[in-house]
Amino acid sequence: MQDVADVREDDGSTTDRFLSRMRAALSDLPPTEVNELLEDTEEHVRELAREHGEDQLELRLGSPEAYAAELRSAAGYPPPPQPDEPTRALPKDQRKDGVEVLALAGLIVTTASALLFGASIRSYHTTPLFLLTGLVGLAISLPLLVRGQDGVRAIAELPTVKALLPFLNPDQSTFAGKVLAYVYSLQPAWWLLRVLPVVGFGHGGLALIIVGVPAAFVSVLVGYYSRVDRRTLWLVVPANALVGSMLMYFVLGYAL
Amino acid sequence: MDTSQLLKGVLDLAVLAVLREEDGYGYDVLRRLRASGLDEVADASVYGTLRRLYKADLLTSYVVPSEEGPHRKYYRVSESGRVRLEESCRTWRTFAKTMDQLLTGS
Repeated sequence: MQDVADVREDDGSTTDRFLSRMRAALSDLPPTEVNELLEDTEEHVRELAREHGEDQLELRLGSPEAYAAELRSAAGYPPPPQPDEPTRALPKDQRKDGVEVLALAGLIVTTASALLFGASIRSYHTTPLFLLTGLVGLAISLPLLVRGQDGVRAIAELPTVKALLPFLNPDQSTFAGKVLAYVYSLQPAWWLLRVLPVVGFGHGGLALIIVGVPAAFVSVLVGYYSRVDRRTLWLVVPANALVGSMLMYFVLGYAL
Repeated sequence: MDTSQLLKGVLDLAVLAVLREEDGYGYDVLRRLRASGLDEVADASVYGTLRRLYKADLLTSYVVPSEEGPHRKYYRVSESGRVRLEESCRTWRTFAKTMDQLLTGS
């Protein structure tokens, strides 16, 4: 055992530093596994340092990190988790903007189509057109929507959308902000109001109760859910536009 | 052609083969591989492979005290290691034959 101690003393800090950097590069593995992995290697590294000098270590073995990477891949372990995910997210914004702009355009197209569909509901020859454009708008939004909620969050990062966000979350210290906040607070009332066109076809009375009450219930549920999962906006906003234009139609009394 | 790429696929076979005749410790295995002509083999790959084969129960190990330094971990091919070696040998021979025919036939 005296020999062991001597060997360790002979090896100065360069070898130890090399080994501890290797250990650090493997630190995501279970400690016992790291010890086993390094057992053979440590001897080899120390031997090499004794034979050729410590300054030769990196020349002969490469960096401790590269050496550790080769060791773990040969041992059948996955590469270490990358701590640099966020740096990869930077070019990602530029790469993925296409899908996001497409989805935003899709939302606008679908909403406009729903609006026109509702407004032209009496002129049967144009309604299929708006139905079609609405579906196209929805279709081009799909590549983003299938990505899940992260996709919608990425849309909020688009410069155009970012500029609009303060209006959605108004600064209530200003008068305009207060007005906006008040309008937004009326949202649940809208959830009830938008049921009207649905029961409107039944011309009131019994239909108002049979259809209207469950419809209002569903509408409020949808309202709350769309606050949670923003992907529903791609259906809820066009639906709102449709209902809105139909309400106008009722209120204005066949004006369109 | 880069031999190191080719080696990756057959290193298991090569390590088992050099341990078939005689048990050996890590550095020993490396030396034998290099002596038999695989001089490009990277030492980290060999140590990693030894560990993987050991975990797969294709190798067993035992510790031998050494006079000149710390004790050494010797590896021995296990029974399932021998079976694997035979299988891999057959696969290799077929593969090498196919490649040979492919290269000379064209």
